[in-house]
Amino acid sequence: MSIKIENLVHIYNKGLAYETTALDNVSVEIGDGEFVGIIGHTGSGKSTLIQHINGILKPDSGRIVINGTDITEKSVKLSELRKKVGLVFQYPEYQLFEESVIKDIAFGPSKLGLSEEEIDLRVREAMDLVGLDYDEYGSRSPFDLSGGQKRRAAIAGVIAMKPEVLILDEPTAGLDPKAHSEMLAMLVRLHEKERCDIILVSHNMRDMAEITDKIIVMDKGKVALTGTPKEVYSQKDKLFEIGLETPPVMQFMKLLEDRGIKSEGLVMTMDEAEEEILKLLKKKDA
Amino acid sequence: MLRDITLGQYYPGNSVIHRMDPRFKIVATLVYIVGLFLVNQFIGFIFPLVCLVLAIAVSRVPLSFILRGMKPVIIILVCTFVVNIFMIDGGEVLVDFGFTDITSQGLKSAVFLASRLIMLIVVSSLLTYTTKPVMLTDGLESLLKPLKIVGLPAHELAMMMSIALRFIPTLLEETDKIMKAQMARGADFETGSLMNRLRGLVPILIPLFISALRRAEDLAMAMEARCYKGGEGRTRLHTLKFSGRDWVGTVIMVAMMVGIVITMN
Amino acid sequence: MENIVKIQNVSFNYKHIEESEHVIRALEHVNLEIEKGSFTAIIGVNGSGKSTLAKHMNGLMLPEEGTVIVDGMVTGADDLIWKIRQTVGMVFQNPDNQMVSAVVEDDVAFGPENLGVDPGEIRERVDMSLKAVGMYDLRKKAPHMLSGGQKQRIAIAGVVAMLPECIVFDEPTAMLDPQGRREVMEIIEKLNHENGKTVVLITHFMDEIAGADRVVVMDDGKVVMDGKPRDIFSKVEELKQLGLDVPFATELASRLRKDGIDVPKDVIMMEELVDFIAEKRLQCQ
Repeated sequence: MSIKIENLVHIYNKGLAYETTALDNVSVEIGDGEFVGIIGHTGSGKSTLIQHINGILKPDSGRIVINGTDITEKSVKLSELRKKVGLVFQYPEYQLFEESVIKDIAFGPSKLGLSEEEIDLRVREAMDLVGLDYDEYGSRSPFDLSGGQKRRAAIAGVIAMKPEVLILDEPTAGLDPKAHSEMLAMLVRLHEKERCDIILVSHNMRDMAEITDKIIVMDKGKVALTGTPKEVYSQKDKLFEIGLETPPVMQFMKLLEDRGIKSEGLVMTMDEAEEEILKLLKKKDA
Repeated sequence: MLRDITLGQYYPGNSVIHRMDPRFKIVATLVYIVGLFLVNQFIGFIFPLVCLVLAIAVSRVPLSFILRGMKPVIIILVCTFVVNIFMIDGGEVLVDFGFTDITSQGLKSAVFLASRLIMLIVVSSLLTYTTKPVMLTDGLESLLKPLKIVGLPAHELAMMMSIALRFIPTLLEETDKIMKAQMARGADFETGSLMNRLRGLVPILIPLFISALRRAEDLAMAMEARCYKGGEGRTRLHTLKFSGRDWVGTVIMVAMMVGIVITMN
Repeated sequence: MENIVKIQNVSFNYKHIEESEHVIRALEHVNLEIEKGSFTAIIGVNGSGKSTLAKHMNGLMLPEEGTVIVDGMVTGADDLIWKIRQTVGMVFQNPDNQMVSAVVEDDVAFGPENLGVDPGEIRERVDMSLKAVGMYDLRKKAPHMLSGGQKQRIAIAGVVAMLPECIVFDEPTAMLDPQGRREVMEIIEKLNHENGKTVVLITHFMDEIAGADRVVVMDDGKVVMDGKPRDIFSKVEELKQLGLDVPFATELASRLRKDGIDVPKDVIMMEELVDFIAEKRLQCQ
């Protein structure tokens, strides 16, 4: 789906002494099937922005056009919108509440007026996508799962609604390295299989460089930078100004450059770094 | 949303009211409430009203903040008002609906009770706005200490209250988050029958309850790690002192009570 | 050097309530000694027993088998438990769930108050601790108005105010953003280097431990590796098997080694790898 956000403004505590402008004239576009990353400090407006996309928050002004429909219009049914846009909050495992994993995942789909069979099918598919075995974990209490599994079960609950856009707010926060890489692999798999747009909020520059098509950098309620990872990360000075870092690969290449070893083009991912260094060393061999 | 609730919170400041001895403030609030109930005609409200306005002015807690704190109790206020206006008969009939009517006596009594209730709520919230929870519980603990003889666990009660106060904003924020998360999964809290709406609360209450339990467990562990072993042998950073300003307050409170008693009929 | 914590042959089981047959072994015959003034990092996937081990270090949990001795005191002894907890302080993962008070300075005072310290001295300790973590200016604030990193710094101040010899940090940065993480790590390092506190740090972030004196790797309730960061991280394959990461430079070096370049095995800092590549190029010229 294509998402077009135009001049979005959101003010918290409007009219009070401590009113804050969380979003200040934000305009971004997300194309069909894109894997988008949103980066920014805590309080930069990231969370406020994503909550607008599925209508949980209403803007003070501006438009959000999803597939041609302006969702800020009063006539738009929020239930329809939430079917299309799935939102996974931070630490989603804390919203599990049903007695079994299956029932919990079915909560969303059951609100969509689907048949029993369709719901069951969706639960199975969703569990498969997040890598939880239906027979092994389905009837268990969600509270008996490990931390990483709980989180995947919670994400399955949103995936089962078959959203065309899936937004995730720091899905890797607090996970151990193993669960972290499993989560990323799952998102990539999901993106390939379901062909949905994914919007990922994360602090991890390395993950962003490795898996996204496009990055939006937020700062103080505004869009500071936007573009492909290469375009964004090449604006190092701007990132530093905001107080953000570049991926470790780039920090490393910078150190090399300081020693007079210059690489061609922007080296951003681990694979590229490996290749580039091999090239640097081979060239001299010859 | 929910985090906008200011009732029961502390409003940081350094006014004379803020610096008063919490024991005085607690007792004064209680006396004030007793006073409000002694008042039995409109003229009597003058004294508590003057005291309240004075206290708010001196405390420098903005009026908007206090008004916002009233929001959650507005329903109770409206209910009492409506019940009174219709239930109490007497005097001349002002509006006649046929099956029921509004009488001058009913209106008077509704306004009277609402005034009492509003002042009661404002004065008790002023106590929490101007007194750090820690001071409040310290004050309570100190006031309740004599009752230890009859087996009242003064310290434990005070500790429980202080922790409850500390976690109110955290749990409100959490409720807000859980509500949003379930809304994103299609939960609906605003439409449907009462029964459906109540059932709709389950997806909020269970996670909230579990989260509160988890927090309680974490907190107990953290408190133990910091050598908490009950009230025995505990010292305090802040020691309570009854000073000049508290004496001034006492005089004002006595004057208010005298005024109220004189105007009683 | 003297050891502040001695863990001797400690085992601990978590009993699963529903199926009583099913016993989860959280710790299995663990032996570990923590040297006074050292900086020890403990890594391992979730459920490997790190947290359980940490909670044994100040008597929050007592071993079912074996002994834990803190500064000469056995943790099972009732009369010494408060002295033990004063000696080994602990900072937990969730900054919200370890704050008792709704005002920063009162929260920091909580520990000393429990120890029965005189009000005047509590004041001094609170001010000293808040200054040590750079939060003195915010001492009157309510914790819920602060950022995660700031809250965690206050939690650290609360422990510092008890004047412990050793502080155990149980994933203190797991819930923080990069900025908060940096703030907290700076303080942890300062406490170790400047104030001489013994630090035990449990973490998932490999870049946080490159500066530790020692890394202990746990898996399935056992200590499976123990050594200097350099030696531990040179075993990239074993660590990956255990579901763990290695620092960036180590990973890149290991990839290059597979490509046939003779990068030394013990590279952990980016600068070292840069040095190596620069030198390699010089040699070729």
